[in-house]
Amino acid sequence: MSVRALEVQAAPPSAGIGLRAPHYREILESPPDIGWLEVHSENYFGRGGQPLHYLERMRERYPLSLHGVGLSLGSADGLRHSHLVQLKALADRFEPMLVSDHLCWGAIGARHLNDLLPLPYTDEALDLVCANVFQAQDFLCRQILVENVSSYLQFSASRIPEGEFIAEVARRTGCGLLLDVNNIYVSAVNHGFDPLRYLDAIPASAVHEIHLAGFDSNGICLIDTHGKPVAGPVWNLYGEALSRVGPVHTLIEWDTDVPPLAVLLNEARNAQDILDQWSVMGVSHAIAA
Amino acid sequence: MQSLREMQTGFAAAIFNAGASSLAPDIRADGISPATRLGFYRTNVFENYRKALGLTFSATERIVGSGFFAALAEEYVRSCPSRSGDVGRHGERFPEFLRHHRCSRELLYLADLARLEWCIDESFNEADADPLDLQRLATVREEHCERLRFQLAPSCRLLSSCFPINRIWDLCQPDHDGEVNVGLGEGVVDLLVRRRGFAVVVEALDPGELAMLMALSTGHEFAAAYQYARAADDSFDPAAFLSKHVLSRVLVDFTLPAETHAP
Repeated sequence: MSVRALEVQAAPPSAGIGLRAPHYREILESPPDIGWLEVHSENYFGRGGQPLHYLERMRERYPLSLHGVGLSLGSADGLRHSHLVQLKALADRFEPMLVSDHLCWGAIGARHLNDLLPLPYTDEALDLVCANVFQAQDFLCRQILVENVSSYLQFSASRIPEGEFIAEVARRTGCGLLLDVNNIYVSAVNHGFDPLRYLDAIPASAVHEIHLAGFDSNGICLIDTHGKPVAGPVWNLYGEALSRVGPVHTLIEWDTDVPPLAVLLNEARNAQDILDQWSVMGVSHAIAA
Repeated sequence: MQSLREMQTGFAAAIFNAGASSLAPDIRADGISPATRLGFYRTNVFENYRKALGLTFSATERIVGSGFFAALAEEYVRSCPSRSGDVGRHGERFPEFLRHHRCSRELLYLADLARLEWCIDESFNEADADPLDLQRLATVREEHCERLRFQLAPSCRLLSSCFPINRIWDLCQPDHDGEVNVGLGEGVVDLLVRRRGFAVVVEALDPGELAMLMALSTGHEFAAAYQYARAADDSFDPAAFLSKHVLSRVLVDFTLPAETHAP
């Protein structure tokens, strides 16, 4: 393992931001005090040019997380080899502290839908997702994190609550979990389940990252748009999550109507303040015990 | 009970056929009709594709207008489904789709404009290359020069059009402040798209240059490529060509056949 990889493994839990192209120059010219950066893996699948150049320079300053949207871990056809090859090349080059993708599907047959589509939570889907996660981890020679998605429908065939489903994926495969607290909130509102019961099902030791983001409403459902500040109830649910899993790396995601960097950094500072509180409480509890 | 593959196949069919929601697996209503719930995903899927295509084909979108472009994007994904988990690759067949689309009967240049935009997108993300090693080139014996096979930088793309697509593209850029009239009858343009540093540039070529670069890019030796260039332009100057395109880093490497190597 390289020094760079060891360095990021030892990084204490901190708040990071999603790196977006409009912020490249500003971040490099006056590097902000943030713990790490996350990028969408597929945006760096090119062979060269500006995106990879900037990512190299960012990587010299910050630990990195590669977050994919195209692996399609829930596809009944299995994983696309070419996608894995590109992801591995990127991971080998940048030695990220985390590599993640979603508990969803986005391709079937020869067709990709390029979206995070919901799975039926059945025994068959569980076996399939686990096989795909095993394959991804074997190919990449590392643990991946699997993230829960927002959903706007539930299949009648589903038999397993989503929290239990994703927990079982982690238990069987040894993958880590990327707990998207905003997604839990959005789905809880959309489907009327208790988000705290969802959190109770999650094995604390498997959670290595948390996502926070903003949502919108279309008047019928909440939609996970990543285009607004983190909502109050999501901050509250974040506190509930930390009370169960302890402090973990936390990302502010913002993908549409990307605001000035200062807005993202302010959100990250809020997350860092909450993380710091939980870190201090953890130490206090340890001393008291 | 449906298998997971059957469910996903049915779901995909229902996404791309608004009238075929019944193909989707059984969805819980919970106060909102399954068709409405499915519609949220349909909206997201088509919006993702429209946005991705709009990033690459911004000039094309500007020409046809955002509403018509959205309709084109929807029609395109129905006839040419995405084949990659990287949505950025989805536009690869868009220029060819436009070439056969009815809108190209009126906008004769549209498919070529889109092809230029796809070349620009590809060039932006292509591999970097070091400049040609001039010292190594200087060691090539004079009698072997005609056997040289030059390689173009990976970011280079060559294209021709019967329409001034480079000027139309310029006109569509948000920061354009020059001439606003382009005559479609201005004649054929031969173009080189390449990266200069990290910026993609579009350069007009003489017919001889295009023929020479095209021949070199397809593996022809210098002498053979020169014959193509002379056929396109009998005043073609190979020395000037070489100097220009080596110094501007269009030609970045070369090989010689094994039999020319010194013993």
